[in-house]
Parts: sequence; structure tokens; C-alpha cells
Amino acid sequence: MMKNPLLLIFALLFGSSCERVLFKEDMESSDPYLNFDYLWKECDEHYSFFDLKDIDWDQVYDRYEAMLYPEMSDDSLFQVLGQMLNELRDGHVNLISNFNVSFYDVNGLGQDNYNWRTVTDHYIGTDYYISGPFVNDFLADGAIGYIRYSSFTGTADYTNLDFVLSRFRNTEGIIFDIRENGGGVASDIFWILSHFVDRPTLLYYSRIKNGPAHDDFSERDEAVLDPYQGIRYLQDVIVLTDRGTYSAGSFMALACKALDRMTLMGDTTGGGLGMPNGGQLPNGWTYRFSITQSLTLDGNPEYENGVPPDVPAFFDWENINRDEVLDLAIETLLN
Amino acid sequence: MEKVTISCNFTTPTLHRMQKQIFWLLILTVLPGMLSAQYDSTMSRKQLRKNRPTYVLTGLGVGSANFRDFATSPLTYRGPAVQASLGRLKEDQQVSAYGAMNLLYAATGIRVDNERAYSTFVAWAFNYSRIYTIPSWSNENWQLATGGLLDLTTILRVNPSLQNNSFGMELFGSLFGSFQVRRDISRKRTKTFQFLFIHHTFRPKQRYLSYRVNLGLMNNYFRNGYSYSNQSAVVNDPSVFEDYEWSNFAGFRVRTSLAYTRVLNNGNAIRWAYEWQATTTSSSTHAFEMAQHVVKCSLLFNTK
Repeated sequence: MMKNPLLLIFALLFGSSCERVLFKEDMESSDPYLNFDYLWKECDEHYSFFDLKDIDWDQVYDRYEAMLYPEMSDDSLFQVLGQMLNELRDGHVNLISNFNVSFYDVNGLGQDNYNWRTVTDHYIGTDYYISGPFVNDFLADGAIGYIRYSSFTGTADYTNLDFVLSRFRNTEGIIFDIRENGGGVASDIFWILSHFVDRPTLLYYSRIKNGPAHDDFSERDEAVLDPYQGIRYLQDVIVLTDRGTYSAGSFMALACKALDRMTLMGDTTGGGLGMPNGGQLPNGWTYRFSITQSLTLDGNPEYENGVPPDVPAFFDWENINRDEVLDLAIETLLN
Repeated sequence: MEKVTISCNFTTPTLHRMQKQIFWLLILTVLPGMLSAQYDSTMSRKQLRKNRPTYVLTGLGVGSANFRDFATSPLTYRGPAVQASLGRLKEDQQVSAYGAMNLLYAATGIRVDNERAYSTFVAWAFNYSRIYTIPSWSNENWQLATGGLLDLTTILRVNPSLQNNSFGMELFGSLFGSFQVRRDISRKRTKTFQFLFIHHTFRPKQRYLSYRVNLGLMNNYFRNGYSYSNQSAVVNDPSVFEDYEWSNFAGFRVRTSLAYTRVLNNGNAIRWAYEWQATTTSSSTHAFEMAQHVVKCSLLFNTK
């Protein structure tokens, strides 16, 4: 060995680079059964709402596993896995491939309750302000401020929201419209609501899966809102919601339940009070599903099925010249 | 059809105890070697230390990296990598000591049929090492040395396709036991070569070949807990490390380096090396595996 250093070098190189002997075997596979079992097991051990939604996940396995066959196409496998995930009845659950995305449509749980054209044609006109993510203008001859917030973009900050609230400082109330707001960046919730409280406020609780059993959860974490130290608005606020108010929108609606001066009006939200994760299957498809539960102040997780309004109100599609939800909000604030 | 169970269980309390026992066994065998591994010399230790060549080490390497995070994906992400190093080395035939910082960036991805996904991979490491030649096992041409290496590595990964789990971060802290064999392959005399009209003179060159193995004796890591994501964003308490957990005496790490060093006439040196390292957490829930292969060229600037 000493006389032939080249042989030594090659032997050492070969022996020292074989991480394969240390690592688990490769799991890349397009096998339908392998991918089905993998996805089912990941959901079984991490999804957070089996008990609340009374889902028999073992029975779901039996029903959908029977639909598999060895030569099935990717499209067919996707349909089986996607439909299996839709048994969770959760808008935060998706299966994603390069040719399709599975989804559960929460909008279909109730009627369509919002039409932007009606708002612009008959309420605020077209010379409204666009202050960051907040479309805003006056209603009722300047007595009420209207803020349309269509998505939690993560761009709410002190420059745009302070401007809007300063503009509305002499109004009798504000209508904060989050109908058909599908959610987004959760931090916007607290940034926005901090402008509407004057003391630290406990909003709700949240807990996260910490074990494979369906009821393995962490201790409850408190979601506490601290008041913003700048411009605040402490008059009445009516928050408009509908079935399209989802995820961060539902979180905001849940938080509003704990705030005295905020009233929810419209339809029940679409839910989505579980934070989704993200993962990948052996065939490269990706997925996400909810891994947390949000609880009301009395410890109830049932608002995952939708945060109910304090005052129900619905859009009448027989007359698109009026927004009945907006009308009721204006009337409530003025009276 | 019975349900197929896919499990990634690696470790048990028994394995933890075994790891600790192996750690202390290796310490007890390596430590005597370190204590006796001072080369017999007519100079005092202080003089030896003073005369020991000191280099500033700058290196650049290319290679590949691969990793698999079972918490988010069963697939191994692979791709090309570049690495930069900066450090300080004090080295002679008796002692080799260095402190260095390495930064590796890899663009990794997976490809399964028509599915593609990509993840950036950055590994930032701080190393400190000391190894001592064992005189009884060494001579003028061959030196066997033993010692230790302290390593702190932070890994950052971003994979947008994993949605709320797109960001991954791990921290590894390890104490390695190191073994190195070094062969002096210097050309000590001038040699000439002649073939027909081709004539070349090979002048004396100082160079050596070394192979070093670092075995993780005490491996610790800081990594995501069970659900990988955390709920800090929805409870108005943003925290990157919420739900992270420390694991001590867990996992396995190994590093090797095969290097060719050429000392120049001006006292500087060039080192070509092939470096390999592998890490696995052996978590009972979600394991993490990674390996790096780097071919590196380092310039050693003599500061004395």
C-alpha cells in the first residue's frame, strides 16, 4: 500500500464518499399505493380537525384505497388523492401537481354575498382612495367611513392605515368590508386591529399538533392584541363577512368577537382557522393541510366551520342596484 | 389490502446510551494519544510554537450537496455547490491547528417524472481543530496524528413549493475525534529527464499528501419539533424558533479530507483537497440527512 499510493488514494476516495450506506434508502416512487399510503399517513398524524369534523379517517382509507390499481395514470391517481383530501372539508387542504390543484370550495357553502360593481356604482363611486391595500371612501354624506380590504397582502403599515383612519377620524363609524377576502399574511390581522383597541386584549387561543394521535395537541397559546401607539379609531366598527371570508379573514372575524366595539355583519365566514403546513409525496406532488386549531375565549374550536356573524345579512341578487348588507351596516351605524 | 406502514424511526433510549458510551470510550483512547503526541525535539515547546509556520487560508471549492428532510419530503434534493473558506492555520510536522469559516451554497432540486421542485441550500460553518503527531507511530516520511475538531454548522433552506414549510433551518454542534495520516512526497534532489530532444529539469519540491477522518463523538442539533411549522404568526408572537428542540448525543456525522499540499519557495502553499461530509440526525420522528462533496483549492499565505 505504501509503495502504491495511487491505489490507496482510490480506495480511500471510494470508501469515504459513500453516504448511501449511512442514509435511508431512496423513496422516490410513482407507485400509486405508496403515494396513497404516504399521504394518508401524513394526514392521519398531522391534521388537526378529525374529531371536530367527526371524520372516520380509517374508513376513508378503505374507501379510497379500493379505487387504486397498479397501472392507473397520474391524472386518475390525482383524482383519487384529491377527492380523499376533500373528505376533510377544509379550504386549507390542497394537493398540487404540475397539471392540477385539488381544492375544497368553501364559497359554495353559502350564497354569493358581495358585488364590487354594486358598491362602486351606487355607494362610493369611482374616485375612491387606494391607500396601500385599503380602498377607502366616505358613505352617508361623510358620516361613515368605508374600507374595502380584499386580501391580507402583508402591506398594511402605519403610512397607509394611519392615513385612512386619520381621514375618517370625524365619522360616526367605519364599515370594514372583508367579504370575499380569502386571507393571506396573518400578521396584518394584529396590525390592523391594534388601531381599534386602547388596552391589551386577549382575542382567542391556538394550539398545534404535537403527536400522531388525533387529539395530540400542545397547550393553548394566547393571541393577545396590544394597542397601537399611534392613530387609533375607537368608535363603532362593523366588519362585513361572507363565506368567501377565509383563513386570515376568519381569524380577523374570530378576533372581532372579543372586541366590544366591533360587530360582525353578513354571512358566516368560510372557516379556515387552522394554519396549513406543506409537504411532498414520493412522486414529487406537494400538499398542505391544517395543523393547528383556533379556539374561542371559552375554548371552543367549532368556528373552524365558520365564524357566525353577530347580525346576519344577505345580498339580494334580484336587485343588484343595492347592497343589502352595506345598507344594514350604514343604517346600524347611523342609528 | 393491509395498510403499508412507512416509518422513519431511527433512535431509541438504548441508542442514546450507546452513543454516550462510544463518546467516552473514544475520549479515553484519543486523549492519551493527544497528551503524548508531542514530537521529541531539542527545541522547547515555546520555541516550537514560535517557529511553527502560520498561514492565512483562503479557499474556493466546487462540488455538490444533497439533503433530505423527512419532516417535509421523502425525496433527496441534489445539486451543484460552491464553497468559500477563510481561516488561520498553524502547521508543522508536530501540530496542526486551525480555525476557519466555511460558507457553502448549493442549488438543489428534485425531478420525478414531470415534477420539479427546487431548494436553495446554504451551510455556514465555524470550525476549530487541533491534531498532534504521535511520535511512536511516525517517522520522517509518514506522520500519524490524532486530535479533535469542534464544528458549529447552520443550515438554511428555502423551498417555495412547500408553502408554509418552505423555510428550513438546522443548527448542528459537534465534537469530532480526528485522525490524520500524512505522507511526505517531496522531491528532495534535482532530477533531469531527457527523451530525444526533450529535456526537463525537475527541481526539489516540498509537498505532502494527507488524509484525515473526523468522526463525530458528540453530536447535537437544534431542529423543528413535531409539526415543523409553528403557530407564532397567528398568536401575534412572531418567532423563528418556536417549537424548535435541542437533541444531544443524537445523530451521526463524519467528515473526510484528502489533500495535496505544495509548499512554494516563498513559504506560501497551495492545497488541493477533496472534502466529504455526511450528517444524519437519526430522529425518531423526522430525520434529516445531508452530504457535501467539495473539491477545493486553498491558498495558504505564510505570515512569518
